[in-house]
Amino acid sequence: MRYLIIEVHTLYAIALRDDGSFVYVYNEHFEVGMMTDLAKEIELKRKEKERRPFRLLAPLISVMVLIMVTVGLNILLSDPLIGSIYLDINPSVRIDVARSDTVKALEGLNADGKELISDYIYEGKGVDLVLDELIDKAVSEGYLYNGGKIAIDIDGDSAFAKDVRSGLDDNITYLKEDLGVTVTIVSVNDREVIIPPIPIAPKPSYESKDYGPTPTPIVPPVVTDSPNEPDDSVYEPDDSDHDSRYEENDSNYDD
Amino acid sequence: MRRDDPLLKRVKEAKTDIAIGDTLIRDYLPFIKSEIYKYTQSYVDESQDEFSIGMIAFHEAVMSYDEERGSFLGYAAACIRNRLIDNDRKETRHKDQISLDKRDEDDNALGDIITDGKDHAKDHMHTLATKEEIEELGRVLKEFGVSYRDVTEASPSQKRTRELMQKLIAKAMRNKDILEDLLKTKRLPMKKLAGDKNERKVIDRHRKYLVAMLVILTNGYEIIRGHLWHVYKGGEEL
Repeated sequence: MRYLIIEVHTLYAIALRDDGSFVYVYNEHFEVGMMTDLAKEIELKRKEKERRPFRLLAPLISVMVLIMVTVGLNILLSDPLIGSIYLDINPSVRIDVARSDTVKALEGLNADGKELISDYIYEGKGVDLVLDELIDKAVSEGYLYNGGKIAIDIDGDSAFAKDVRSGLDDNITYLKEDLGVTVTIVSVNDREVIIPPIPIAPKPSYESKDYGPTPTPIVPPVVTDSPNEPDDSVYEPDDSDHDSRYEENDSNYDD
Repeated sequence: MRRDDPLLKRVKEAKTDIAIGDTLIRDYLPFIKSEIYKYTQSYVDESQDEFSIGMIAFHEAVMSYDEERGSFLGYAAACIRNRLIDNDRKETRHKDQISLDKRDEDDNALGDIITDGKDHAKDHMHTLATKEEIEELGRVLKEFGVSYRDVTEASPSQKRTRELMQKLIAKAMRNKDILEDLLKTKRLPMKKLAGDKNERKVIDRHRKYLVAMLVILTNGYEIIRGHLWHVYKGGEEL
């Protein structure tokens, strides 16, 4: 290998090898422009990458950040449920409402409820619209009629209950005034647990006539005494009561 | 030696940085000369072989030192002494041969008297011309923001990488646009030069080396090109 000395320092020189590589060689009285076959190349150690204090923790931190981002996105995208509305006409239906006030699920709680929602599309609709349409459907399918009753039970926090109530205002007016329907709205927060007292038997406030006509008293049959016939009403044991079948056995106990 | 010892820090840095090693050597030249003197029992001039041996031994001590070996200076002193002993043994093996440094009665070195068939004056002129060419190249490379040290650091050490560099240089030599762009913008036209993404990564790592080689092969530099003639011949790799 032939070296062309390019640059000279105290310890080392830069040389161009005839294969086109630039290398460090020990300076053994070299001067710039000199060509030599005898040069001792210097092999330096590779620089270690600077160790970062969190280098080992980096994968763990990355995983944690990923989890947090995933969970955060999931929460944002999943639109969690904030409450349910139980619409009880006779068809009973449960309406699950998401945070975005859209209906997430609809379930018929009885046969009529299932029938009512069977062909109803709720996906992507707001809770107010679903309530409107379900009440209209109940009216058109004959479940709700003049003088009927609707019970709406709101299961959720007070803000949710307030929202549902305000959304129902128009419907309530229509139902009450046009259809004469009784609407009862109850929310979980309003609900009180009442333990009924033990009932005390009331004094009968009825009269005997309340039970219909006075029954005819039962008259016992008239029994005529006869000397030839024994009186059945008085029991008197006689020999005929003795069962001859046990005689033999009885004798076994005589000993 | 304490971990926060400034010498230890410099020794560690010198393992990967030749310039730091050079500064360290210069700072410790008195120590090196002193250790040589302890062995030879005579003053050693910087032009003598013993000085070079002592200096190289000191740098080898830098490269091989770790804290388990005790204090650095003690270790370096042992290294210098061992190298000088090795050199003496080698000299003893060649004791039957006459040194060119041996002087005659008129104090002329034997090497100066004996002719080797070479025209030393011509060689000297050639070396001077080469030196001028190298200095000129250094000035041009400076315009590209590249020093010889940068070129050496970016020089490919693996044969496969060297071959890829030769291929890319040959490509650039055939494509005048690449060379014109390089000289005009003082920047390597990566898109024109690189074939694919992998090549681009390799080029990026050896960019300064490529710049130097392209400048050498385009702007004359006859002597340097002559040195590389069997690698590049008219821009074609052999």
